[in-house]
This record gives sequence, structure tokens and C-alpha cells, in this order.
Amino acid sequence: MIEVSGLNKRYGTFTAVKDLSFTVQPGEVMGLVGPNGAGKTTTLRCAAGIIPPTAGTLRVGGIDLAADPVAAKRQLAFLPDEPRLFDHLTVRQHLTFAAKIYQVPEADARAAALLAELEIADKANQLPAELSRGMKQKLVIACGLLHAPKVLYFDEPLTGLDPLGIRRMKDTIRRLAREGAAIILSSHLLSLLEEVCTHVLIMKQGERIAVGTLPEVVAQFSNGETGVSLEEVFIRATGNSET
Amino acid sequence: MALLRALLYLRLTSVANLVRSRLLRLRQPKYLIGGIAGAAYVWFFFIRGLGPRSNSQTLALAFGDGRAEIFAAIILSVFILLIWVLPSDSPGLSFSEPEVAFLFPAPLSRAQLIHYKLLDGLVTSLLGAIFFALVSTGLRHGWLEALRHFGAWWVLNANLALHQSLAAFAIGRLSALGLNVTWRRTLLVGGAILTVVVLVTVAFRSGADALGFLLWPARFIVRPFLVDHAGLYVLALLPPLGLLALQYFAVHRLASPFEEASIVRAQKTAEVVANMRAGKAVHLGGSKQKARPDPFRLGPRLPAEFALLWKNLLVAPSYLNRKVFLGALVLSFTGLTWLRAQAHLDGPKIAMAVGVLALVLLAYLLLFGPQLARFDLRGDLLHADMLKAWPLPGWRVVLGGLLAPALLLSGIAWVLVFTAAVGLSPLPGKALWLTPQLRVAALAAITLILPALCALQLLVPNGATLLFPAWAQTGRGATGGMDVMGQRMIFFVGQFICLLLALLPAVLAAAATIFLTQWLIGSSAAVLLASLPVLAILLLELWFGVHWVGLRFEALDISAELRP
Repeated sequence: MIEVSGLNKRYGTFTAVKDLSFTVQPGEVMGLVGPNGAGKTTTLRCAAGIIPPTAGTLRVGGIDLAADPVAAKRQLAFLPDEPRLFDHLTVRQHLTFAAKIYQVPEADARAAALLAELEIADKANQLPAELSRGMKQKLVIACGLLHAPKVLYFDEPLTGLDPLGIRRMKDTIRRLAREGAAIILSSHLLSLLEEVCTHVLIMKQGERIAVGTLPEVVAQFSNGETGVSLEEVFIRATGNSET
Repeated sequence: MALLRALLYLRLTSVANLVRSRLLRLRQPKYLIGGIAGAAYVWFFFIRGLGPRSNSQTLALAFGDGRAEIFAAIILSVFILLIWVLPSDSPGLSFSEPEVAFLFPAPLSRAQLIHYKLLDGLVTSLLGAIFFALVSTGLRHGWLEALRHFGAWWVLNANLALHQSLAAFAIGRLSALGLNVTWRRTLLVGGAILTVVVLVTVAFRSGADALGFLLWPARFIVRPFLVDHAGLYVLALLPPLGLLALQYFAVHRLASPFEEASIVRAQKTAEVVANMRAGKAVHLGGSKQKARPDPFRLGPRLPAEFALLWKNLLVAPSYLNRKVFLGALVLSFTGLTWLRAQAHLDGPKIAMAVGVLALVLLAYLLLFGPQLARFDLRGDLLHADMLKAWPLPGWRVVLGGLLAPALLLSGIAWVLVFTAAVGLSPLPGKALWLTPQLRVAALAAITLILPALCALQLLVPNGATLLFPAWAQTGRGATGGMDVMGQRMIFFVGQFICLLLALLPAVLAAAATIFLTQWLIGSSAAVLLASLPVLAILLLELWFGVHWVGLRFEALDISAELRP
């Protein structure tokens, strides 16, 4: 569902991502981890078609993002770490706007269902300034799910959420994966990855350090020890770099 | 079409919600009073005709009808040249953070995004044109005249906006080819000079109108401002509209990848807006904020007020520093001394004009400076919970907050007073009473009292912020609108009245001192002596004021006043 092959991203002489390749199949949740500056957000932005790669091929649902970006983007949703909303659109109007951009049929019914599911139906006519951080995050998720994407990119999805919101977010990610979505999730919270992800991709300085299922990656860095945590694996893989 | 519908939906819904929220907040008395003051200002100054006359009339009166077009075209040409020469990190198309978040991952092609932003820019130009038409002519000369101005402003705004995008993309392409900023500037300025020289030479030999030819694109754009006849006006609109279409096409064809630069610009813009709303120093131009050296050594024995001074000097704009003030003083002295020696060039008169201008600027500084220099308690009020946790009485927090802006405003005021003292030398045979000794005494006296006066002026908005926290700009809520404009006008009037009240006893004391002592010690010494009671009164007022504002700060219930 998500195929990344030979991805490179350079800014002048600085290489943010170097020769990165991986795939994420439907139903899989890949956790993207690495120290600060590892190139996680750049990778997500390239994979979502937000910024163009310098080299490499990105395919979403079998469609080449460079060759047919519109068709490829129709299948994906990008959920950023900070909820960035229009100051003067209400919750409901944000969904209407997203529906127009993605040309979602029967958008009103779907928006109402999403608002109810995310428990923000009572905030439908409020402006972003009147919402808490968690409510804004829920609105961004509702906008992202409106067109039923088959591919989702989450950048630090738990930032600013309360314990109940965190639990609901984890449930949502798991449910989407069960329903067949391919998901990439970037986070510093290794416990989240252990709970939610089926696969892990560890990056450092723009390069892939390890990729595979959780047990595979743990085995790669456990040196024959048993009960090695993902945190320990991360530290061994990245050489005690700052997270 | 789907994109166009989405754009229309976004813009129309946003405007409707903005208007609705502004109207709804008029239910609160603070906004209602501000709204009435703001509306009265707009009505009387821009609609009923108490404001400036229309710009075409002003230009025509100043230069004559023929020369007005040339003058306006020169200004526009210089502006366009600056767009190309001055450094800019503009991505060509500026998206906001929500636009980046919603539109970049959306199923839209790059061409659609470019169309979206260009059309959005044209819509924004319409709003700008309404504002400028209101300010420049209003409804004083009827609806037709207002519409005429609106059209002229729109083609000007829209052409400039598109030209900025065009220049940014062209510069981006030139940079990609290896042309750095220095080469670009050299080539552009050199090319402009060469063009002017060639055209003037050709014109000189052939008798043609070189200037007219050189300025023709800019003349086409400004002409709608200057024609009165309806038919001619419509004809005058056609060339700028054609240029608009041409530029739209050129931007669309020239657009290079803008996504990364747009994301960076959106983040910077969001940061600037957040800082402006919080009343913090704003770093424009996209330059990266640099770490600055300590303004002075903050020793452990210094009182806590100095820690606030130290912190606020670091927060204040970096160009307000010792070197700049000293440089300005040296420049002012050498420049004005040289000017005064150039009698054949009317130097003394020009120096006198500079002196008068310095005095006018000083008056503006004392009135408006305290409203702008917000790196004091007002800037820190969003962190009031932290300030209130400090083991300091309120008056010391207030005093510490006042020190940095008072010092920096005093620095500017000293430069202006010094400039006025050097420039305002009486012409030979005139104002014989204004002797050099008297000027030096007046300069010394004013220099002595300025810091106290600046601190007192700063105390007024700080006190007002604590007294009416809901009226103050504390970084929450919308900061625009007619009601907010009215609120600021009311604050400004309050500031002016406080200045008069504070100065009244000081001026009376100064007058009494000069009157009683000038016969004994001479007028110069009397002026110098009068500064002492003035300083004493201002310091006394400041002492009472700081303690009173300190009490207000201690009594401030943050949860009730500043939380949403």
C-alpha cells in the first residue's frame, strides 16, 4: 500500500533523508522512530506528497506520487503534530471545507458520524479559539478521516492529549489498521509504538538503521539477551543519541 | 471548479464568521464603547470629509496634472526595483499554516495550488482596495468617485502582489542557476542605470520623451487614479488589467517548487502573528533571531529590578543599543555643524528645519513611544502567574519592568533633544535671547528630566493594563476591528491627558523657579536650576505611581482577568 524506494531529500548540501526504502502493507502500522533531526518528519512529508523528494519513488496504493499526485493523495491523510486550523471556520465548516476539497459524497452524514464518534458533536458550531488542544486534535482527525483514506500518516499523534484522549487515539489507530488501512506513525513515545505498531523503522541522520516487525527489530539488537525492551533497542540502535 | 467552490466557501464563510463574531462581541460594553469611538472616527474622517482630500487631487495640486502621473510612476518604479533588489526569503506564494495542513496533502495538483493562491491574492487585493479607497477618498465625493478609486487601487494592488510572486519565482530560478544575491543586485542596479543612461542619451539626441518611455508600464498602472472622465477611466483600466493577465500567466508558467519555502514561511508568519498578539518584539524579514551578548554583568548583589532590566534589554529590539545611540549623536553633531557652515546652500535653514523636525519627533516619541515599547510588564503579563510567584512586592516588579523601556526611550529622546539643540541655532540677527549658554542649559535640563518623564509615560499604559486588563492587548482573542481601533484611540487620549496632568505641577514649579531666580543668577542658570524641582516632582509622581500600580498588580486576579 505504501512503497518507498530509494527516497532521498536534500536541502542544498544537507541531506535530510538518504536512500530510504520500505513498504507498509494494508493492516500494518509502522512506527517511525529516531533521534531529533533523524529525518522522520521529512520522510512523512515526502510520503504524503507535501514536499517533493530529491530522488526516489513513492507509491501510494500502487499509484506513483510523482506521476499522478492527485490520484495518490486522494487515498491518503496526513495528520500533523500540531492542529493547524482556520481561525474563522467552525468545526462543522472545517469538515465541509475538507469535503469540498476531497469531493466526498454524502459528506454531511459522514461528518456527523465522525463528530459523534470523536465526541465533538456538541462543538460543531464553535470556532477553534473556543476549543481545547485535544478538541482541535480531534477535529483534525475528523477532517483526515472524512474521505475514508486507505493510507494514514500520523506525526506525534498523542501530543497534547489527555489520558482518555490517548486511549481513544490508540483505539482509533488500531481500528483503522483492522479495517485495512496502511499507517505510518512517527513518535518519540516508544511505549505507544510497542502498544500499537506491527512494524518499526528506526532512522538516524536520514538513514535507515533497522526495519521490520517489532520482534525482528528487537532480535536484531538484543545480542541474544531475552526481555530487551524497545527503549533499550532504540538506545543501542541509535548509539545513545538524544530522543 | 471544485477548487474554486472550496476557495469561495473558505473565504466567504471566514468573512461571514469574522463579521458575526465582531458584531457579537459588541454586546460587551468595552467593545461597544470602542466600536462607537472607532465608527465615529471612520465616519467623520473618511466618510464625511474631515480627513485628507483624495490622492489624485493632492498629487494634481502638488505637481500639476501632467507631472502627477510621472511622479507617481517614479515612486512605483522605485518600489518595483526594490522588490527585485532587496533580499527576500519569499517562496513566491505564501500559504498560511492551516492552508499548508489542509491543502498540501489534499488531492490537488501543483497547478491547482498555484491557481488557488493567485486567485486568493486577487481577492485579498479587493479587500485592500476597499480599505485604501476608503482612506484616500471615502464617500466625500460620492459613490462614483469612491468606485473609481476602488478600481484604481485594485489594479495597482493586484499587479504589485502578482509582481512580488513573479519576482520571487524569477529570483529563485536565477539562484538555482548559481546567481547569488550580490550578482543579482549588481546586475539589476547596473541594468537600471544603463537603461536610464541609454534612454536619456537617445532622448537628448532625438528630442524624445525618455522619462515617459522609461516609465510607461508604471504610468499605465497609476493612470486610473488621475483621469476624471468616465470613458477615459475605463480605457485607462484596460492596460493594467492586461498587465495583470500577463503577470498571472507568467507566474503560473514560472512557478518553481515552493512547498518547502512555503512551509517555512507559514511557520515564521504564524510565529510573528503569535508574537504580535502577545505584544513581544517582532523580527520581520525572515532573519533568524540571534543570541545576543549580556547587556551588562548581572552580579549577585544587584537588586532584583536589575534582573528585569537585564532581561528586558535582551528582549528589546537589538538595534536600540549604545553604539547606535552614540553613532546617531556623532552623526547629528557633525552633519548639522557642517550644514550650518554651508550658508550658500541655505544650510542654516535646513539645519533649523532638522531641529524642528527633531522636536516634533520628540513629541511623537513621548506620546506614542510608551504604546509601542511593550517590553515591560505588559509584555510579561501573560506570564503573570510566574511574576506573582516571585518573592518581590508588586512595586518592585513594576519598577523593574519600567527600567528597560524607559532607558531606551530616553536614549532616543536624548538623541532628538541633542539634534534639536544643535540644529535650532538662531539665524543671524534673530532671536538674540536664545544664546548658546541658554541652549546648553536647556539641553542639560531636558536631558536630566527626560528619563523620569519617559518612565512616567510608560507607567500610564502599564497602569491602564492592570486597571482595565480586559481592554489590554494580552495576546488573547482577535486584535483587529473597528472596536479595537476605538479602544486604542481611547487609551491614547487617556495617555495624553495623563501627560498633561503629570506635567502641570512640574511646569508651574519650573516657571516659578525661573521667574524668581533669573534676576539673581541669569536665565541660563535659572533654567538649569528649574530642572531640579521639575525632576523632584516627576520622581515623586513616579514613586506614587509605581507603588499604586504595584498594589494593583498584587491585587490582580489572573484567573479572573486573563484566562479565557
